[in-house]
Amino acid sequence: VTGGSYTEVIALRRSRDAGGSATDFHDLLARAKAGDAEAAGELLWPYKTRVWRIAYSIVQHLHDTEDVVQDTFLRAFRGVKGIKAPDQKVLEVWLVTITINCARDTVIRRPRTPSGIWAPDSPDDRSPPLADQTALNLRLQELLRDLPLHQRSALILVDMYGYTRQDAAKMLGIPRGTVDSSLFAARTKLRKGLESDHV
Amino acid sequence: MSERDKELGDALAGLSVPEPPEQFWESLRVRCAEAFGTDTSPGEDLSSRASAPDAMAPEATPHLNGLAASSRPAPPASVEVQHQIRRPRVPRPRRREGATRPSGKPAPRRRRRTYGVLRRAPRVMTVAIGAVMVTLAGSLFTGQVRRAEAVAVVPFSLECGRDGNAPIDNGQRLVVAGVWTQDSGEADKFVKVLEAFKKRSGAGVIYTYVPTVRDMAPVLRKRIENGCPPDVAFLSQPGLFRDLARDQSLRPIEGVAADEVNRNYTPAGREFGVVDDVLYGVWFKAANKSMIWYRPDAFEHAELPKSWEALKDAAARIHDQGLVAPFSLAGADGWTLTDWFENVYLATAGPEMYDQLAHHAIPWTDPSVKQALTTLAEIFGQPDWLAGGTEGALQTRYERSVEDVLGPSPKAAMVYEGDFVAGKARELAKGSEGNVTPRSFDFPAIRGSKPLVVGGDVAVSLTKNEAGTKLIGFLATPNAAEVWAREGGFLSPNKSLDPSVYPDDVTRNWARALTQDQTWRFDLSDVQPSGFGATEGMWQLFQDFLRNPRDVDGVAEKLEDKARAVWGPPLPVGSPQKSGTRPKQKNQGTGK
Repeated sequence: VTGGSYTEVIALRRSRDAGGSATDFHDLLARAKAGDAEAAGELLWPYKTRVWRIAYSIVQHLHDTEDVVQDTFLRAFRGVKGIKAPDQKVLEVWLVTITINCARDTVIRRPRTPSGIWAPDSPDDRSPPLADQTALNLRLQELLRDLPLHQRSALILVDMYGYTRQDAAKMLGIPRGTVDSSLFAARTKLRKGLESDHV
Repeated sequence: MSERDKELGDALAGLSVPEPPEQFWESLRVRCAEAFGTDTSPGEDLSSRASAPDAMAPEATPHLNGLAASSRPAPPASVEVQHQIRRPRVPRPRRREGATRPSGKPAPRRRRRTYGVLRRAPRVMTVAIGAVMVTLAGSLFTGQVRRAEAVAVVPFSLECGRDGNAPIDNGQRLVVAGVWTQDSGEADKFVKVLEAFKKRSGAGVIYTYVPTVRDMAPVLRKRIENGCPPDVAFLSQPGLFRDLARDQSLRPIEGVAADEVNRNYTPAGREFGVVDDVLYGVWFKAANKSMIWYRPDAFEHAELPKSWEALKDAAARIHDQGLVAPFSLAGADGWTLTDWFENVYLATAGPEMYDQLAHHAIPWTDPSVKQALTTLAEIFGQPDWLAGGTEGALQTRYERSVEDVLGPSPKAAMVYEGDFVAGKARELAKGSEGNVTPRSFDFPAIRGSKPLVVGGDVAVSLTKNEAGTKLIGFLATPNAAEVWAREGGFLSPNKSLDPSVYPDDVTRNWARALTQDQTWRFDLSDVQPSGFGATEGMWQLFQDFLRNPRDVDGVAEKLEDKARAVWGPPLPVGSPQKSGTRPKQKNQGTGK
């Protein structure tokens, strides 16, 4: 996603990340609840890109992201038979909530890459290619990493993925006011960090 | 949202996120279908789910891909249940003056102080103390430590000046970047080496670390681009080392360290720090990658295997016992599979053939490669011997494989990997009482030949800082190696180091093999050009091999195709190269 205004970028990202159709939603959910694995897949897989991106944005480590995404979908597939989701939005909030929980646990108990081994060379690594890692990109990632987890999560949900603050509060399991203050603090830190680069 | 917030949002929305390989989704689809079929009945009441979180607990999940199992249950997708993740804090009722206490007596009225200055004094002092603490903490964080004798330890930053790199006291302060973190306890041991250096040189040292090996390349390049590289860095990536040397980002160290290196290192050990015949680095820390770690209770009444046949016998015995699988294989991390192969190949084909294969002087379809793959298939081809079977192994990451063996809920008896497993085992030991003391035995001999595959960290100089070059010279001496060797968890390639300083016989024997024998070899996949040695090449193809170990010819051909694409046709078989060296080819090690 490059260029365009914030709103356009978010709209593009949302439409690209989650391609589920609302008209089929209730039918799919009913079939999934009845034990139809294919329906459960059709219901949940459209969110795979979104789940991956949110997880990566929080944990910022490829292998950890794989773990988080796997954990999220396994839980979601196990839990989908028991959900009461009046609309697609609730399902999405539920799925992202699981993602956030798994990501949070992973960050808290993050394993360390062993030192002393010869790791793969960066250009062939599955990290973003170095050419794409502009100074701003790298700096933002560094600043994001420095943010406390709750601030980072709030910022990612609201500013990167366009969720409302109310939805972010549900996903993070915190009051709406705390989302507001976390966002304010996170944005301030990021702005200060970026501005200090230009001094 | 303000204009500035929008700008920030634009920048954040533009952050690139790497995509997973399609293989990941495919395998996850299979897992999810299994999970879907084995869980709750349709129409389950949400309230019962909420009260039975165990259904979602990690113990209930099957053997998964290095799953960082969460202890939290999945929240029900109901609008009413939105705060299950974290219970909101219940506000404590504030007791008002005069309110009735639990004892029934009214609370005594507080005496009102009338001396304003005195009343404010505690607050003023609190603010003052807080300011001092913040200043101290800030100075520690930015590395601006003024205590002459301190070695500051700070996280590595992209930003110039945050680790104290900019102001250096008359060249007597230096910044050293490495990958040893405090979590693993390695940073503390390395700091002792730096303190020993400080005693000799008087230079203040700031040690700044990156959290993982793979972070070193981008952050180091960025700092070089910003004009503020650390004075000394430890590189674990040979491709990065070569590229930086050829970009002239590294400073030759012939003048400051050549004598020490020549005196204290074998020719093969010296070659670790050489690019295009110029000495740029000192191989300070070695990693032994020829070890098998095991649960002591699995070998309580059995001898540790010294040969490949004995290893298979042990595996069969453990399998027959039916308690745990013989091996946990980290198939999701392709590098562990190539490490397996390298050990088997070094043992079956011998060091000279290993060198030739490493330099693509022989093709990957050579009978020696097929022989090694066939040998490896004797274990890889036994799904019952692998925790989770073949599919489970393909989903298992390195950390999980260690946990499967040394963690509190064992799933396997043995796990192959290098000496750095000890670090992961220490982490596990912190978490639970059920973990076992890690023990290891050498990778067994195959037809009488025992392999030793190694990796390591090379110290390089990036600035003109005189203290930095002095440190490189010091690191080449046995005195520097001795400091860490005494602490344990360290293997030195320095042949002048007295082996008696090692705390245990096992490390002592490795050190002897590393400095005296000529049969050890450097990790083969790591010295390949990156287009072949890692994800898209050997790693992926050895995962294919694990999936179908009978397809020896097919995998060998695919390996050759990939190798040929990067190396070109195999070189005519000539004089074998020395270990750790690479032939000077156009595409050598650049990965481009």
